[in-house]
Amino acid sequence: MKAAKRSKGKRITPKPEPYKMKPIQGKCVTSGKLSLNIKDLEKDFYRADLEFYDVEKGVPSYEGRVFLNNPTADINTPTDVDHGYVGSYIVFGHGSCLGDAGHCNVHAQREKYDLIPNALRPYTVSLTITDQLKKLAKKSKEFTITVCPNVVKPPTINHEEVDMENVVKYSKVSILTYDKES
Amino acid sequence: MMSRIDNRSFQYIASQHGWIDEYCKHEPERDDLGRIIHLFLGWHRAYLIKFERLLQMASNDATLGLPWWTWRSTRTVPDAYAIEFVDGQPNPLFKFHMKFSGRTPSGQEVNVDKDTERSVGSAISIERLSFIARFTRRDVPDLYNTNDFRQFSENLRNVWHNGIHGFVGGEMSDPNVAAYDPIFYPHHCNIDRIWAIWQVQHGVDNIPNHIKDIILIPFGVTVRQVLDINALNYEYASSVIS
Repeated sequence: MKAAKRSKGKRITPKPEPYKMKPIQGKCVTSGKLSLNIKDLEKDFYRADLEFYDVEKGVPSYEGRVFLNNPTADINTPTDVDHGYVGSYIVFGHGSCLGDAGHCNVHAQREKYDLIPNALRPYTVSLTITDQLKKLAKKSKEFTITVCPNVVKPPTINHEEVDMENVVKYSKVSILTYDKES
Repeated sequence: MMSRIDNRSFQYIASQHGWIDEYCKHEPERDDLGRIIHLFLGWHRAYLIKFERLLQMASNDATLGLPWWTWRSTRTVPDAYAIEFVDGQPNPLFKFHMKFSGRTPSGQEVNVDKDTERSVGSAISIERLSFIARFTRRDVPDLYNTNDFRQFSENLRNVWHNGIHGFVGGEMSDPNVAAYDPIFYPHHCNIDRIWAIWQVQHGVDNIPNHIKDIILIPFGVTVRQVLDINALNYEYASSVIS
């Protein structure tokens, strides 16, 4: 196949159309204070993870934007480390439930003989934040963690009233650091 | 169009993912010994193989293969799936009419009788996804750096997989009905392709042993039986000129 002749200074690949954002913001959730017991930021850990436990899957899908020490963050806050942004996780929501009574009950554990474990069960979300934490920990060794959801409007198929506000739900959040000895 | 009760129909295979059968696997689960099992990639590979076989039978063309959508470079829904009419006829890849019924947990009878819809980029753009993937070091090139299957699977699922479902929006953002939108299949085909490339680099068999003999319901095959795409008689072209 002959390569197309490229004229100087002319863009061949069309520029993507500008993205028109229509954010739906749910309620941001801020944790209590977590203390980081680290003396030497460069030497004492080589990796740091932020782990959210028992993250609930609600009806809508959403991007959870995670900020450290920025409890006033919202959906319009710039997503860079200077504003405490350390990353996002994306939840593929469950949608509404269809099935007989009890079908959509959430069980903490897999039930005996259950070949199809409940897809609604909360799960763990992990974000690696090594570089971001090293930068932010220079200012403070105490952190609050704020999650701001950018919510995807669910399809009109839902027959229940959808709560687009309270989508961020988890039981606990931890910062885990790993040192070179372990 | 074939009905749900015809087990070769699109309606039928779509209903196996979410509503009504709800067989799909996404989040990691624990087996009876408490070990974590990741069935996301294996389950969806079996699902795509079944769909491709049904398409081959329907078209009487054994060479027909599912296309994949390389969303990192084609940063919007590909034309074949985005154009509403082709030669004056409705494009069957643009939307699908869902028709089924069931009952909600509160006992309400629900009849779903509507077209699939999309809200492309209304909340999450591919540019945004690309940024998140790079920022959190879970972009596709980063994924190939790990030889840990569980880490690979989760990082692929949590950013690009979940994100593209959110990017397309509408039915695609809801696992119950996502598979009714025809764009579901090229999206998952690309997920499968990325896994196949990772397998070439890190080993076809590179998956925890305790996962290999789990049966993938409802396909009647084990995870082990879907690991080797050559044995399954398909492959992915390394480049496509069109």
